[in-house]
Amino acid sequence: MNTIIAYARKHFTEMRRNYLSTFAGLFLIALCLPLALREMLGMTSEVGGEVMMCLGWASVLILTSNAFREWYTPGYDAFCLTLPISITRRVIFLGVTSLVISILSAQLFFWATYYGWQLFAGFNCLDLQDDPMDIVLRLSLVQVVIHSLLMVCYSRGGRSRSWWLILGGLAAFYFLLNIPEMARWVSDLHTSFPNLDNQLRLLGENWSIVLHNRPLGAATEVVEVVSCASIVVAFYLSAWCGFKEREARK
Amino acid sequence: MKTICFTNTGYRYRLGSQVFRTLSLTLSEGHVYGLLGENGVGKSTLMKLAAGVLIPTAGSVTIEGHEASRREESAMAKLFYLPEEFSLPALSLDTYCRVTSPFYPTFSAEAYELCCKELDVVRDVRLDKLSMGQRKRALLAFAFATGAQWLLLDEPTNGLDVAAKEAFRRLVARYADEGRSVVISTHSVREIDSLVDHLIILDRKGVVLDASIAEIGTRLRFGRFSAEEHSKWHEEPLFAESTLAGTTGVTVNHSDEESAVDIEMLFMASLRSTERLRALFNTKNE
Amino acid sequence: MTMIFSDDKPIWQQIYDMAGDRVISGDFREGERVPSVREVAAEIGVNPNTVMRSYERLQMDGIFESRRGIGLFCSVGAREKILATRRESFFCEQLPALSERMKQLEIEPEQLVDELIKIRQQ
Repeated sequence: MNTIIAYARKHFTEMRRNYLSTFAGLFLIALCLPLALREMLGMTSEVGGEVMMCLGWASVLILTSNAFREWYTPGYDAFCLTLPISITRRVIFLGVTSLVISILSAQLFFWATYYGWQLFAGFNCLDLQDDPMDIVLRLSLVQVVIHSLLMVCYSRGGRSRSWWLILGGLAAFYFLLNIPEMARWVSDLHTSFPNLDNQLRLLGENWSIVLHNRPLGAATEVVEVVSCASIVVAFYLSAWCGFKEREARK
Repeated sequence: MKTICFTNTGYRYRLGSQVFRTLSLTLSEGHVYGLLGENGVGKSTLMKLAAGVLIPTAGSVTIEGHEASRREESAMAKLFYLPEEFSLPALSLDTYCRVTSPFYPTFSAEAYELCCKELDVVRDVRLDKLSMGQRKRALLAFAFATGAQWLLLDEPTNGLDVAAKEAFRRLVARYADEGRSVVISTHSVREIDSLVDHLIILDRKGVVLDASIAEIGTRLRFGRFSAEEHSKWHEEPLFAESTLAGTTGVTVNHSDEESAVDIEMLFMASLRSTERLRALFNTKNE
Repeated sequence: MTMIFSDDKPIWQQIYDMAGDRVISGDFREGERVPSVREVAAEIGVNPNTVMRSYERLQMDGIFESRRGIGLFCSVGAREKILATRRESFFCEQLPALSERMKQLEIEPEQLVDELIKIRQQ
């Protein structure tokens, strides 16, 4: 237990500036994204879910890779690998901390700016289509799923750069499966905002897949299903990478 | 048994080049090892394998019985590895020491104070703002202060000035006197002359020799020899160079008298007469 | 401090003599700890193995003694021992050589004593 406390102290002392700049970044996203979307698309009320999703993804990605940063900083990784603390303990600590901080910070920044915009600017730029608790739970679930994927990538204690590929693949998968949803969204947009290109309307009319008429819900459910399915594949892929891990310095 | 053992260790980089095939070595406690070899033969790789930073592709590397690459807490607490080039977090040495020393049960605050003074270390400025030489001195002070059983130092004197090198020598001498081992990998052969009691010379094929200085002095003779002496022998010297004072070199020692070892000349001999040296010291490779 | 070594004697012998000098001068006090092999090696820039040979000889001759677990110490009576050995070497080797030289230069023993006393008085 002592080693974990010592490690916690070391980690937060060394990463203090990183954490502060990450929080500043997340806060800026939470604050500016609704405004940006509002300016770009005119009157908007259905982007609450998207903003929250962005925050959720951003927070878990950045905070988890920050947590494991020392393991892949060239020149510092040797010290990190030879530090007398078992890999398991380190991974558990970094994993739990990064997940908890991701969930808390995403929620904190989202709700702060949501109410902040309403209070101070008076505009309801984030219209949540669902019960807030439902949103909180779903976002947290997505974050857990992404986080577990990242964790598996780092779990072997090596410097696995193959997680870029896995994440990239997952992101591509996610977007591919969401094309129908996005297409519908785009076609809806077109009706609301005639200044958009005609091309997009065509795309929307050719797709015939029907999804639930709950934008936030639909998108999230797809992510959940896809992520959970991908997790199994990714788990085996990255574990295999971890075992095969060899350091190529030159 | 306080040893670091390489047993038929092989290592191959991901991008292809095979550095070691079946390297076998044993490092014991209380010695100062000099690890010599030309650039690219694998000195740093050897150190990293010993420290558990790299995982061998064949064979094993153990630290006091524990597999190095498993990076177990108890094994890692017994060693400190200082790479040739390194980067450090944006903390002062004192802060870095405060958060990192709890991991080393053998750490001594007294030794830390002493080493910082001897090496003239800057303790309160952020480490990433210091020059390479200053950073090296800072980390060396910390390394000695950990009191680890095994100090693995890769080119420790690179970037140090004369005073710092002297302080380094004093600290290594004191460290080894207390029963711990220091492994120094270097190009500056002359600088470790007054420190090492055991030499390991590597080449592209593996180990050329792995012997104590005493053994080397028994098997080889270093020094001046005349032309007459030269003509009497049946064999060529392992290394010879003509100076104003005459011919000096390395030859096989046929007398009973132990010769004083000149490490620099020995290294030159290892380059010129590699296989003879290998055979002489019965070093087995693949 | 780097010692400058001459070519006529083996280095370990020179270190041995240097240690003797230090005992006589009081640098190494009887009954007190002397620097370790490694410390001396690092200080004078010589391989520890060479210093080891000197130290082994010093121990054999009873000038240094090792105390288990503590280190190496200068033996009590070491100073006298060294002086005695060096005196003997002086009378057996250097004096006859001096005598030969004196004969060559036609210097009488009495002249030598007078000169010595003059030098001592300075």
